[in-house]
Amino acid sequence: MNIGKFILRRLSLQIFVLLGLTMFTFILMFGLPGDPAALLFSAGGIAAGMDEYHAFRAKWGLDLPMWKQYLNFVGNLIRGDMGTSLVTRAPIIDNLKAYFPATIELAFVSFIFATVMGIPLGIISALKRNSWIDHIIRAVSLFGVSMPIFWLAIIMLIIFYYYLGIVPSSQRIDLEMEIPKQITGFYLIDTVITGYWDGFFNSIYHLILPSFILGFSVVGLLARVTRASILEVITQDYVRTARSKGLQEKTVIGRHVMRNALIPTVTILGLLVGGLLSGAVLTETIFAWPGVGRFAVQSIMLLDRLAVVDITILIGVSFSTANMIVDIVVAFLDPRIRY
Amino acid sequence: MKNLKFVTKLFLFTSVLSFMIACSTTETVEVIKEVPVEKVVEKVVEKEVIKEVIKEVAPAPTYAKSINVRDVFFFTEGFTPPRGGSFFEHRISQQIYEGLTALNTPMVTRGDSAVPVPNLAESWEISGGGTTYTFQIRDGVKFTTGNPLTGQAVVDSLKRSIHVIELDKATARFSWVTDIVSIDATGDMEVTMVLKNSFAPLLAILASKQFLIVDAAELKKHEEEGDWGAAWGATNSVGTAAYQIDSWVAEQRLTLKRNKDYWGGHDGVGPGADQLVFSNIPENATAELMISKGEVDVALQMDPISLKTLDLQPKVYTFSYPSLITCNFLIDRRNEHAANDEIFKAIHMAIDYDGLLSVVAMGLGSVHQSLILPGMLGHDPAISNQWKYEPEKAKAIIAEQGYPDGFSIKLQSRAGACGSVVYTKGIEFLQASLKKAGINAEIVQSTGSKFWGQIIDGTLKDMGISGLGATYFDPDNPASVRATSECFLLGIEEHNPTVAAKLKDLVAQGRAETDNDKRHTIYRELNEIMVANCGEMTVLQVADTVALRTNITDGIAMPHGFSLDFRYLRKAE
Repeated sequence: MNIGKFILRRLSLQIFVLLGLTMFTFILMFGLPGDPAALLFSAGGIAAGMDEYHAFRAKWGLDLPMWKQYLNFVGNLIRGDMGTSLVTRAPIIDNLKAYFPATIELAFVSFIFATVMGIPLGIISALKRNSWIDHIIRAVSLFGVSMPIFWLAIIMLIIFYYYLGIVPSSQRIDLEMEIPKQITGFYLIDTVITGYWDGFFNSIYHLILPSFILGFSVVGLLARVTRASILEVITQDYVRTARSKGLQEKTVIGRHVMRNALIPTVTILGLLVGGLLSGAVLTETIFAWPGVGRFAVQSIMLLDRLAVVDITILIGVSFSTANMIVDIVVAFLDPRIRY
Repeated sequence: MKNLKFVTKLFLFTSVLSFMIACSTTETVEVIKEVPVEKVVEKVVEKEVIKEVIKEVAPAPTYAKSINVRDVFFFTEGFTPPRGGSFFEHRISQQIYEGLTALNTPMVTRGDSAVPVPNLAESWEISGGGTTYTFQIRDGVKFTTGNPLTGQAVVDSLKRSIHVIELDKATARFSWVTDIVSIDATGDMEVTMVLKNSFAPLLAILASKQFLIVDAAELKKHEEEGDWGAAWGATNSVGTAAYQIDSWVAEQRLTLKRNKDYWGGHDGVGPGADQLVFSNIPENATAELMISKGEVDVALQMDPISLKTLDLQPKVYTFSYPSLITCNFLIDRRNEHAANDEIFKAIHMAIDYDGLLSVVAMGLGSVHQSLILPGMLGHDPAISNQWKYEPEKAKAIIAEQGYPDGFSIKLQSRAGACGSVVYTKGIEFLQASLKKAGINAEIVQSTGSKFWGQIIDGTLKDMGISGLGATYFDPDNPASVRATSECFLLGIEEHNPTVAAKLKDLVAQGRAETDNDKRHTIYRELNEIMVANCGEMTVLQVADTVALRTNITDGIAMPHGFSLDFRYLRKAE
């Protein structure tokens, strides 16, 4: 099977995955006790408008049985309508367009940071096995994996923002600066398109601490997986053969060891995308990052069922796409894998 | 050598003397600095010598152009009346729109009785036995769109509010609008509103968010599907108030800029800053660091722990004002225990009010046991503070009623908070409090939607907690919302039909009566009956607390209890 057919097959399977995902999330959301209309109306004295309450339920289809609501939702989704948020009263697609780019930007920079830091640290750790460098890297990795994001983020803010004043506190851009005109929603892209260079550099400045915090846990995991993988490969016969035929050490490591050792690392990278997207919820809250994570939390708290299902779909699509890309990369790295 | 020593000593002596003189001069300067400018001018006349010094040390204060505000955004339908139900939206609406009437802000902050004062309406006359209101509209006021405020503009604005309320199917919440016979411009600057029946809360309602005055003609230009610009108005402003929306980025930032044509306000206070930048900072710990470092000047919506920490900061102070939110414990009067009047009394005595205030609310508020708040007609401290925590007495009453070993009850706990009282903590405290009176309470986890769903269905078996606010500053609001609705949902009609009928009657009387003294008597009686009979037991009035940098002065709360009045804020540079 060639790569084109593989991608097509994966995409077609993705439809079933998404259908399953919507159904599962829908059932879970309906499994939660309560009535979103009652919750919304409680804020202003529900009983003052019982007629209004019932009209609201009818208007939003909340009085329909679950299966009907689900079929309505899927039917609308096929037509490209993701529904309307009970809370913001706006099409959910508009909310997602506003919030998702911020999450993706943060997760992407964290991913780059994690990859650039995690893999080299794993390699150094493996090559300097049992040395003091190895011990330090392993300790730092363990620290990264074990520290809760919210705790680490606040400690880092206290040190680097409050005492040292070398990083900004929160948000995507300084309070004094103009927010870039929204074209794609990605500040790093929008500022370049509009030539707003101060905004571009300021956005990078604002990404430093949140992306470090979000990526740090992943750095530890990547370093540990890479180290273990290299240590396994480095003792293989073909590596000894490569050395015995007189190849330079950097060629042995770079061409023979790394190519094989990186397969588990690359595979895990796909899974880490999910971790970064879910970890972004906490990071976004602490750094006042206007991403989809906060929208998700608010939607869950207010039982905005459609919004929760839509967010789940979006994250599901991102996750499965990342893993599809990983599968393709693995095929290039490992000639034994053929699709 | 001796000379050198002498010269050195002389030099040191002179230096010390100069330093002391310099210091004493500085002290004088500092004292003068604290003298109000007018008094300093008087001194200038008296003592010509210090004239220049005073001029140097007491310049006219300069204020920063921009004030950064930490907030927690909760955007639902936007800022333009009558839409937008969240506290955040209310807070912003009150900075960009004004009503025909207003409530005197400093007076309400002090807790005095609030009576509507003229605002965009310069004066009014009530005739026809309370059914006809004739308003004289203030001349020379402009909307931020440049259009003048006229009688017709006011009529259009009020009609638009009613139109959108009907569009949103929200008329049940504003049932009185169906009593409106006509709203007409009876002169260039005169508006007459005729009602079917006398409706005393009207003047207070006209100061509330739903009927603030908008440029309806401008909104009409942005109409979509007959909404009279409601969707467009969600994030745009067309008011007459001190500020207008400059930019809005969802979940991030709202910038309000000074309305250059502002007429000055009913109290003659113009905005202190050219712009207000509201930032959405959901995490308290982050906001705490930001205000400590001076990145934000005012922090709203802080949690009590952060406020206590900030109180220790030298450059930050906190400021509290009573809000319109109360914390309440709810129990259905059809509940097998609460149906017994004596046990119902015992439950009141089994709540440790002071402990709840100091431990759970961290002192941010006051013990308050009735629906009518200080500053409203009908308020009587003897009613609002009648219950004391008397667990032994409560235990004895429960035993007398046939439960010598007490009884068991379930408490529904859920996410949320009323002001500084986090529901879970409030419920845990209640459990410990009831225990001492022999009531064994088991906490069950719930959700807001389940809890309110059960109240609506009349199936609430457990005790719960809720926070409730008011939308306009008149006793009719808590009376109509609670006395004739929530109290009924909590089974008052089945428990005591006579009391239920009396409550309905008093609410109707309070609405129709235009004499304030008589209204006070009516609402006092209603309040007394509510406290004694209703399953909604008010326990605390919550205080809103904000943290401000010490260079920010004149924090004054708005009368609706949702926010500071940002016009008053001044930030010294």
